[in-house]
Amino acid sequence: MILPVAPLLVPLGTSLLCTLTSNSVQLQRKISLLGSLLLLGTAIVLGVQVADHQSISLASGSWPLPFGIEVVVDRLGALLVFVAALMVLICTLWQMGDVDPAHSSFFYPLLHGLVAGSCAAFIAADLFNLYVWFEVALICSLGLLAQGGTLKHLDATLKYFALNLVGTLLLLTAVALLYGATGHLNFNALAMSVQYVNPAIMQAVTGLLILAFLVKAAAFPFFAWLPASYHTLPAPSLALFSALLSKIGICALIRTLSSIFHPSPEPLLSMLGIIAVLSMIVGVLGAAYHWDLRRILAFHSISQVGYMLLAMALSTRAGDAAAIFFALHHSLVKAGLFLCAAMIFKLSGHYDLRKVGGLYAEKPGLAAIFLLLALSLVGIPPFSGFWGKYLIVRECLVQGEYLWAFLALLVGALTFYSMMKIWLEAFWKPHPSAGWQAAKIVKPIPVTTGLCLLSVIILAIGLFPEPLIGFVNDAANHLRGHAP
Amino acid sequence: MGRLSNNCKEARAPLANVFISCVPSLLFLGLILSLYHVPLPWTFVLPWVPSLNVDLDVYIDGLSAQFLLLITGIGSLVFFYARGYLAGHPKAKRLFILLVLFLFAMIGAVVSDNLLVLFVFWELTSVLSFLLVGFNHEDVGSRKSAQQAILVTGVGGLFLLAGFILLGEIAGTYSIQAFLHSPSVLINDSRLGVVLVLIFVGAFTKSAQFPFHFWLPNAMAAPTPVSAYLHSATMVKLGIYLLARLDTAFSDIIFWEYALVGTGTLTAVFAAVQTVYERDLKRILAWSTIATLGTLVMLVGLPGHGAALATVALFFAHALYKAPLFFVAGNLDHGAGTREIDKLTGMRHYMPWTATAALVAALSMAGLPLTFGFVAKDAISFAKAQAEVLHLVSYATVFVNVVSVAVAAIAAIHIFWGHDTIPRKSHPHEAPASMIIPPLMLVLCGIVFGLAPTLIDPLLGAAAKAMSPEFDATTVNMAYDLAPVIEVTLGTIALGLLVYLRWDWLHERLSRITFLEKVGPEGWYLAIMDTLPVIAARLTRIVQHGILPRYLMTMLVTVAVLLLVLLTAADPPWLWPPSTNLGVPVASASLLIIVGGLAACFVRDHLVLLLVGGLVGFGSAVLFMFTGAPDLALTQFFVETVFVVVVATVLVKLRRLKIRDRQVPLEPLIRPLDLFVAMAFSLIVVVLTLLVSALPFDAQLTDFYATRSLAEAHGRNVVNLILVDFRALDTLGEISVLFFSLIAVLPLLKRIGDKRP
Repeated sequence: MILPVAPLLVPLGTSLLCTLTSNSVQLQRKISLLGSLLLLGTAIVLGVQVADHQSISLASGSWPLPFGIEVVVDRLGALLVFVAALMVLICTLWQMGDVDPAHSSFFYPLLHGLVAGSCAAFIAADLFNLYVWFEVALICSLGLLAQGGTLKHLDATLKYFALNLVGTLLLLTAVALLYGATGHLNFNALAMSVQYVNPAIMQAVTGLLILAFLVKAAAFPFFAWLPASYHTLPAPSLALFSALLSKIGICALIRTLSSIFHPSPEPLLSMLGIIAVLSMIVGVLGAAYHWDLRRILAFHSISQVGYMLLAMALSTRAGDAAAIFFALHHSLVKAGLFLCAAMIFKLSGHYDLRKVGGLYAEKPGLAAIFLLLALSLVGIPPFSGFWGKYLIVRECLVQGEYLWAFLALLVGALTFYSMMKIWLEAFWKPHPSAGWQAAKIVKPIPVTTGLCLLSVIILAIGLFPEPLIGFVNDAANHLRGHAP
Repeated sequence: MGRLSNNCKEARAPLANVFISCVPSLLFLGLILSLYHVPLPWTFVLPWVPSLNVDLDVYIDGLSAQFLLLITGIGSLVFFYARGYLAGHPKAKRLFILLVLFLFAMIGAVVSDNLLVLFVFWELTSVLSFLLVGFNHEDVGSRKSAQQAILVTGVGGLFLLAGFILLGEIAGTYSIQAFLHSPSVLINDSRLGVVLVLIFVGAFTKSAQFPFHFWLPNAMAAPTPVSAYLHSATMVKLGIYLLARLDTAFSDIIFWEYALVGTGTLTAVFAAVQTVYERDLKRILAWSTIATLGTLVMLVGLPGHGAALATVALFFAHALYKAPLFFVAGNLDHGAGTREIDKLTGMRHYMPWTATAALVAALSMAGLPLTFGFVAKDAISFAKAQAEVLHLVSYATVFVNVVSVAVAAIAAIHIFWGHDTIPRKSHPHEAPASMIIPPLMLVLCGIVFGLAPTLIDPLLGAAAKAMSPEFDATTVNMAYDLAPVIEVTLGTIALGLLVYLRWDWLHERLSRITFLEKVGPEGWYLAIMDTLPVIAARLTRIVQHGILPRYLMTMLVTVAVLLLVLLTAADPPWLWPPSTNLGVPVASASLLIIVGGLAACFVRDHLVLLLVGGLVGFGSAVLFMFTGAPDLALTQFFVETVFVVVVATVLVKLRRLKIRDRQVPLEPLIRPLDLFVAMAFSLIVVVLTLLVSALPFDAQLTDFYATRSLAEAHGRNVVNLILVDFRALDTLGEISVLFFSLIAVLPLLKRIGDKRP
């Protein structure tokens, strides 16, 4: 069956077709839409499959394992592929109503390339293969960043590239060292053989690998690439970036910590915990400082990544489940918030909070959706973020990590503070210029569809969390296998 | 067409408002009817999130029923009042929608038996309160007040969540009834102290207890119906509801009693003093509400069932007199255009009905006999007598009562009696019927229940029983029978009138003492709100400086330090790799690499840099050749050559284009700090590599590739076969990388081409 590699082949094929039709934007859009829908369908089929069977896998070239490259779609992979499909669909829908003039004809190929790289990274079960797909995602996101073409964009691209390259090199070094120490690259084979390697050396090598992933996940102090580049992108692309890029790192981290190197050495987990807490605090304070909507939301991403890392640092099944739930919730909510930012930009012409206002009176619908998303990000019940935060805080308390629980809650309060800043400035405050009127949106339906879709999903997760919680619990159980 | 539909909308909007405003009345009627027919407690379970033990367990006993009656009853009148108050307001509909949502959130909070479900509704009330306080959001004061209200109660909510989770972990359930029936598990757990503190913080922020009280007077920025409903009658009592709910389980714990009695008394006294500072009737009422909330907290803390009865009686009495007084404040605002008590006197000439409502409400607030306020005071005295409280608490209560008599006198006498001597632009006028009927109905209830307390006995008894299971009906009668209370009451009223007469004098004296504002809790809040942006700015400027080399430096230093820690923490076997005879070829290849690497550091010219970089590549190829990998060496030679040739061509071409017109200032080639970091980082990576090389290598994979390549993959060059067969998927990825880099760069190159003249 070719199904397990479909999350890679579908977007790659879409990307190729979009390249071939690069002289007609209309055609590209249709192909992109079809490709996104096909990927969404694939994700749903995969989701049903993995809910029935634990996971489905494929060895490339039918070589016996661990000699061939293995691709495994498990619940975690299927979930993230679903998110990726949803995001690229929403992004495409948005582009149907609102064309960014700065986009070249290679926007769609790169967009789907990014999705292909990310999806393949979500389902890779081979360390070197994972590295390769990281590179694909990296190069495509670089291309998307450079689309603007101005000096500001190129500066962002350069920083993004240079800082990510360090992560890539660290990853490559770690892969080489791991191969040297164990002679394997396949995840299962690695999990078997790391137990026989000297634990002291293994701890350092694993540490290097984790640090490389942390660069990709934009954790403190490796996050500089994220706020250096995000604010130059148009917000719809940002929705996709924020949903995919840091999640590649997060997904890889969950996999390595829970199914390869378990039990993870204690110093490593403490290191991860400290990095998590610092990411949470530094991220949220950065968000509190900034006035540009995109920068605020970008810094929030760092802070929220901290939450996921904290859950992983607990190194329990419930912790993994919480991290997966949180990752999913964050992808959806943050994408929604970026789309809200894009709407605010369309309506008022600015991303700067000091120059916008009066939207609560003008656009109550947008205000309601923003409120839903913001409260969800903060973790106010009954929205999706509440369950994520609840799962993390509870596991911290169960494990006796009172300080971590306290900090998680404190950062929640600070998140609230900075989201409220957006609300007060953009929605409640009267617009700074008296005679201001909101710009008219030419094609409202494609633009708003994505936003409404996301809101409905987030509300549904908040009100009926049981199925998803069950799913992530199973996902975490499968990742940890029979280990404690 | 557009205008027509707009007109239709405007005509329809009030109809929608009428419909919405009937919601609480309908619920109230339904509730009354069902209370007659359904025996309490009434329970109902609906599964919600079973895997987390979070289910919609509805449990309605006397306490819940009392709250439900208040929520829907006062709600009906508030909605009715709001229709008059906001008549013609363009955003009236939004207010009604928010109020209905609030109504349901409150109902949800008081009927949930599951702590987490209770928390869900609890937070919803906070959020809705935020939106309602900020209803006049064009005004910056309203925005600040709304922000303050939600930050204080929201942070309290976080503490509450932690407390609930911990409680759930200890008890193994989130069901309140389940652990009320077996509290021993909780009481014997060492974490109980933490749990109680967390719950206290949550409840105290919500119910405006010292030191979290300051948000409530500021929340008076809300429209008056909202203040009357949320910030006097219902939401602020939620914290006390929670404490009352848990009282059965914890009432034997000394800490519980002392914390509640202490905080409640402190809050009541503090708020009573603060009342005198104010000149705005609504803020005066707000402080007196805080004083009542403090008294309620104290009563919950007192042991004995007399206290339970007093708590529920005061709940009722307060709702029956304070809500009308808020309505009166709203009417004054509406009719006279101000709430400043200095500008209001002799209003009964203009607003006779409002004056009547104010007078009767004030009688109840002052606790005069034949009002329900008196019944409540009676019950409080009985509770204190039964619980043998400290003298200090007794005096404090008397003091608080004296001030509340004075506040009642201000609301009834100062504002409405006497002659209007203040020059005004226009005559004050009476409010419409929709704003007079609600306060009159409430004060009427106060009188009816005051004359015949037996009417409401069953409900009070049932509510008190929920707080104190041994409670029996006879206690109710005993509480009402205390003759000595009359003397105390008369004394309190006399003192209160004295305070009223000297109010302005007191106000003037107290206003000179301003240190409380600076060092008080609100000062802390403001200090935090001022410092937070400063800290955020400083920190963010440190971590987000925008200088690429420093970012890189941070990353490398962090990685190096962490690796060093991880490596030394576990003390690995410090072994060299098994020594093999290196021989001249390997040594010279290594030398080539080292020379290339070093030279790269000291070369500025790009072309030369490329060439010395090539040395590293060729060195590696030589190394592969002599360490048993000739096929890899071949590939490496080929790739390296192509790379150098292609990049050199591009560089030469670029030079001809002369697009590098921006002169970059030359920096010194060796910077000591950078050199140190680079050396340290490389050293650690080298050490790690050596350590790994010293491990025995598992050659399973390489052996497989070597043996199967000819037999099954039909090729002799193993490297080629790995690329195109064994690990073809990797190659697909690498090809994609090439492809995508091309299309990523193409638009940029085009732009360069366009700029060329």
